[in-house]
Amino acid sequence: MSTSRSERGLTFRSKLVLALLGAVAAVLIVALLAVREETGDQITRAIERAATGAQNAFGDFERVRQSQLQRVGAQFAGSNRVPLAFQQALEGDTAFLRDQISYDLGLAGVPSALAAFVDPFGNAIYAQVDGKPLDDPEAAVPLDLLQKLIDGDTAAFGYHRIGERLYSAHPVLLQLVEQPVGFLILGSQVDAVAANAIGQAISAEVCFAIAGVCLAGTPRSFQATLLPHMVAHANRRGTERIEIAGERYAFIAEPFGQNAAGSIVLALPLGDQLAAFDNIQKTLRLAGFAALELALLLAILLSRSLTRPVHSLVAATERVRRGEYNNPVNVITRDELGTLAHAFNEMMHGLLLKDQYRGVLDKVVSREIAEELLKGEISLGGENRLVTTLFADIRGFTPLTQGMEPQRVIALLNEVMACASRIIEDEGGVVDKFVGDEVMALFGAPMSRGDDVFRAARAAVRIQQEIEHLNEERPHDEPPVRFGIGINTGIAVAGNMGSPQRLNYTVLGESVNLASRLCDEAKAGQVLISHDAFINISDRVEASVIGTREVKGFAAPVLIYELVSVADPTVPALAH
Amino acid sequence: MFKMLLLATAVLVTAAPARPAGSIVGHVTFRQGPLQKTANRYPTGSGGAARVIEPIPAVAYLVGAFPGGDKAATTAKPRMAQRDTAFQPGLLIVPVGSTVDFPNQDHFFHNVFSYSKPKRFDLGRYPRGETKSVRFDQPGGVSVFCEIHKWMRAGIVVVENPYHAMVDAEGNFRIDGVPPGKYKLEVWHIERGRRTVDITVPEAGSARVNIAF
Repeated sequence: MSTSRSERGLTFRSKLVLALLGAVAAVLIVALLAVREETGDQITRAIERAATGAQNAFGDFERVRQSQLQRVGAQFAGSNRVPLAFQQALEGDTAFLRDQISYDLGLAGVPSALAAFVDPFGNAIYAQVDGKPLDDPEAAVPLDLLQKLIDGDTAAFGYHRIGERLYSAHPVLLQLVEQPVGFLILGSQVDAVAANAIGQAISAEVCFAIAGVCLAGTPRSFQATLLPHMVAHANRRGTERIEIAGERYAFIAEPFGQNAAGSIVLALPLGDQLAAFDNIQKTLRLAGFAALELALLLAILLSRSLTRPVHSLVAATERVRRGEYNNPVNVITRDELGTLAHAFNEMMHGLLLKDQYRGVLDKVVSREIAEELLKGEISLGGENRLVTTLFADIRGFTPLTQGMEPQRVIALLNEVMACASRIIEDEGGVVDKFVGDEVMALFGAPMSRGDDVFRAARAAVRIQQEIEHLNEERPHDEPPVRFGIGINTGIAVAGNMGSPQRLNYTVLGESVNLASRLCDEAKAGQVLISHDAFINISDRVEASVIGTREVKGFAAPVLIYELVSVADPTVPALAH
Repeated sequence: MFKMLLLATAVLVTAAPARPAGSIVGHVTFRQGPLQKTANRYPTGSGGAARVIEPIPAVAYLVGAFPGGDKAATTAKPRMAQRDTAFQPGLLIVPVGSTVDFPNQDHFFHNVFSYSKPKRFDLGRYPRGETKSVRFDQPGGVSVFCEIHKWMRAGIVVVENPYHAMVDAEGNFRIDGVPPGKYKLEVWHIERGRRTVDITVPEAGSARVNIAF
């Protein structure tokens, strides 16, 4: 049963590598996501900070400007020179007013301010910016602001656009000895200075846009790369992130002025905000890559240290499957695998022992019995069964071996007995035991082959003939060896007998004793069989009745036959 | 103060000779402007009651120089003092060519200046006891102010002839003894500016005129 890799799925090493890499990658991804989210939060916060910062900076700037305007306005309103000059303009002498107001604005430190004069009926009389009169003074008058002043708001401020310029305007009531004589609108331009003030406060590019026109801004906001985006974003709400010429910007539009008529458009460079996170991400990516490589390396090393013992265990299993038990697994680790290898080695040792026992068993009992024993299908507890017993005894062995070397005696005995054993086993019998120069064999026990008596008879004939052949081959100075053989069949007790430490499967009983007696009676080269045996195989053998004999241990005389031949063409008859 | 005004003009008026002459009887209407006069915002230095600004009457006068114009006025030395943070008198009618003295009689500095076209001048600031003078050689109404005390103001009407009169509180004025003929009559008010009308004075009786500001 071989299991292929595809059936098994991934190898242990792949799983380990995947698990480690997966874990590292997961941690890395989570970390990167966290950094990304934090980056997003940081930018959102930066944008919020910039938006409020811009409003605050603009508010601060405007407060300064407005207080300046208010101061100048109060100064002008408190003096009677400006109202008097205005009166002169009402009477047609605007040049005088121009000189006077230019002088006074210069004195107040705001020479470029917007100054627009309006008569009590709301007609614009004269207006100037940067010290130059405006052709259309009406354009310089924010009527809504005038109305605020008339309604009593002496600190009214508002934004007013004159052409391409944006002014923060403040109306002042002109009075002469308690008599209102007209209005003066003072205004300071919302210009690059204002934009720079905001821009410096929040580190961003700033422009003031009204109706899609950028009226003032930081110098960079007017660059061709930035201006279109700032104008485009002026009327949008919410932020927008755009990369321009390698720099990342967040565009924000904050409303200002009455009815949010204008927008402070901010281009907030995100480089500084993002740089730190970019570095973190870069470091994280590098560290992650290193961690991945380390994890890969670790996984390989670890899996190797794990799979190498496993491989050697597998190889050992293969050896065991082939029946090689004498090559233990060499695993020196002290972990579970070491324990497993140790257990495996013990198991292998056990198998080796079992194999050795099996070998011994094969030698001491017939292979068939050994196999039957190992299968556990044979009951060895003891039973009455029909057993054919064969005894073969070397006639005149003691005088035969007189004067022979002991080694030679044993060699001779072994040669003869081996021959006999082989034939017995060949015929399906079991060599029960050797007793000196006698061999006892069983047919039909522990298992029957159906024609056990005939098999015993044929074995006996063949033994006599084979031994005769052996005699012919042996040195001629040695006397021939001949068996006397007795066969009986009958009920005997079969089972394992002996002590628990040493059991011997054998049979006991009268029929066995009779076979032994018959063996004793047989002359050299003779096979004697009992009447019971003969009856069993009378149609397949040729035997001559010898007659009844008194047999020791048996009350009645026993009828004995001498076997001559068996009905088998390959087995010649016995010579007489 | 009003009494002094009358005194100052009486010198000129009484100088006219007795010849066939008509009169000019006029009425001046001051319509309410779009902007209301604000409350008195000028407290006195001592922290007492708010300062009351005396009104300055309008002056009606004939434009141009013509024979019979009296020279008697030139003998007088007109002066306009600064006293109690006010110009006194508040209104001065002087012939062309007159030099007016502006003595400071207060204990502190004053300044006298005018942006009016007939005479623009600025005498700067000067202390008590000092007097500065201005010669008025162009006819017309001149508003005089103090830069330091902005409620201080006075009118100086520079005339080319003796035919002039102050408009009373009801808006009426009368100029007698005017030789018959066609004239330009001008009315000047320190706050409201001036209006000019053509007028024909009969041999006898009076020419009536209504002038609205």
